[in-house]
Amino acid sequence: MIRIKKNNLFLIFTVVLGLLVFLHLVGATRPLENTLLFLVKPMSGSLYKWGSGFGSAYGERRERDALLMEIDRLKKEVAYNVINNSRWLEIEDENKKLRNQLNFISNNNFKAVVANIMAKEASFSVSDGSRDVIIDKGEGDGLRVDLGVLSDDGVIVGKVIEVNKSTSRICLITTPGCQLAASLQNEDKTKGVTDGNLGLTIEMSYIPQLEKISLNDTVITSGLGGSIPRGLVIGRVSNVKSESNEVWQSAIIEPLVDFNDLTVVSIIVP
Amino acid sequence: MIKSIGQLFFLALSCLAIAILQFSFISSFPGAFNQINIGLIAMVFILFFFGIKSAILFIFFFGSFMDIFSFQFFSFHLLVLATVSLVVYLILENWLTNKSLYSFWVLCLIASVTYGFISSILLFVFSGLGGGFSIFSLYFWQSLLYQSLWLLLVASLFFNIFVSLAKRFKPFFLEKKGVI
Repeated sequence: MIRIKKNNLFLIFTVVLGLLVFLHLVGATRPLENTLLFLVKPMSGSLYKWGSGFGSAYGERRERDALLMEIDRLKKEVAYNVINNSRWLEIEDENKKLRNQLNFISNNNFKAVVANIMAKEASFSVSDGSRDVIIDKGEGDGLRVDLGVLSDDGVIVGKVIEVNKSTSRICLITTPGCQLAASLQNEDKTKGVTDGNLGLTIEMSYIPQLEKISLNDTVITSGLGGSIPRGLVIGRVSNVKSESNEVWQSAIIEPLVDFNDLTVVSIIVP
Repeated sequence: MIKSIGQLFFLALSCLAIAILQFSFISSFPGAFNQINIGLIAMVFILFFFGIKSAILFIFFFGSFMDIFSFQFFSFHLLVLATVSLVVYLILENWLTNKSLYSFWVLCLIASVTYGFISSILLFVFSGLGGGFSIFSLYFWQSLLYQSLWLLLVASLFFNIFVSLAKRFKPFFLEKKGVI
């Protein structure tokens, strides 16, 4: 009988690991992996929803103080809005545009694949704590890299960056490196590229100084250079960074959805 | 033989359950809560109480499941956990003389720090040296702190539960009659 010495354990482990990686790379373990993922997917989706629910409850509790401050701020804002009655019409117009965006999928007859979020995982490319999302639909469901991902209310939240047979990885639009071709709904129809900013907001850079950007301008996808159609809402301009001695200006965009509450998403397949 | 196969099957199922919990449930938690690393806690716990063979088996099953679920390169979790277990094992064998709660805490801390560093280095190297090197970011140190605190908290809980159930590690004192 062969007795395994403790010192040899790591050697045996290394050999088994090497063999496992080799079998994975040549695809020999793929059927087993796919079967396991298929069995695990429903459970993963449910567990993620439970965890996300806990997260929302925790977040609400934590934000209680912040909400009280927000109420004070909103009271002042209401007073300000009463004075500026004329702006209401503009807001109403914007609301109409947003509602049109929400009906975008049905109006344009895009095929949408609905997917559950299974997990979040550290992003490859950044070290600021941004995390990508893993969904339970993959290549087998018609997904491919660069497709746009919508929240349940029709706002674009990210794009597909990696696909497996039955799962996919999605970068959120607030993650640095997750870029979208975008356009502002202003007079100039300013075009540019949005990029995630610290996992919190979105930044649209390299906008010529001559273009006029206003706060609360709606930012939509421009439909240029990719599989993401034009007209999907990205967010609203919350800040404009413009220096007179600079060639370019940039806009900070506030996303319209809370990414922590996402549990179901739709992927647009053109 | 059948008993061994049964034990292996039970271990594999437990590892699958822990991997699903880690991958889907804990990853959805907000802020510091998603730094709970139950795989690492279980690995140190098994190494400390049941020895290196059981720990290696755990790493093989748990690491494989995590690698199948995850989008990191295949063998990432296996490599990180194996390296951490090697470091922890060497320290347990050569430096620590008893199996007390303090020894367990020390091992957990070392495991947490090693895990943080090894995973960042591997991610940096396998992203083609193109991603941000997380060791230089504040987020890395914050998450290391949270992970270590969670590890210590859960380690204390596990240790006390196990000691009270197993009665193997309860302290005893030799008393000489007539001497106070």
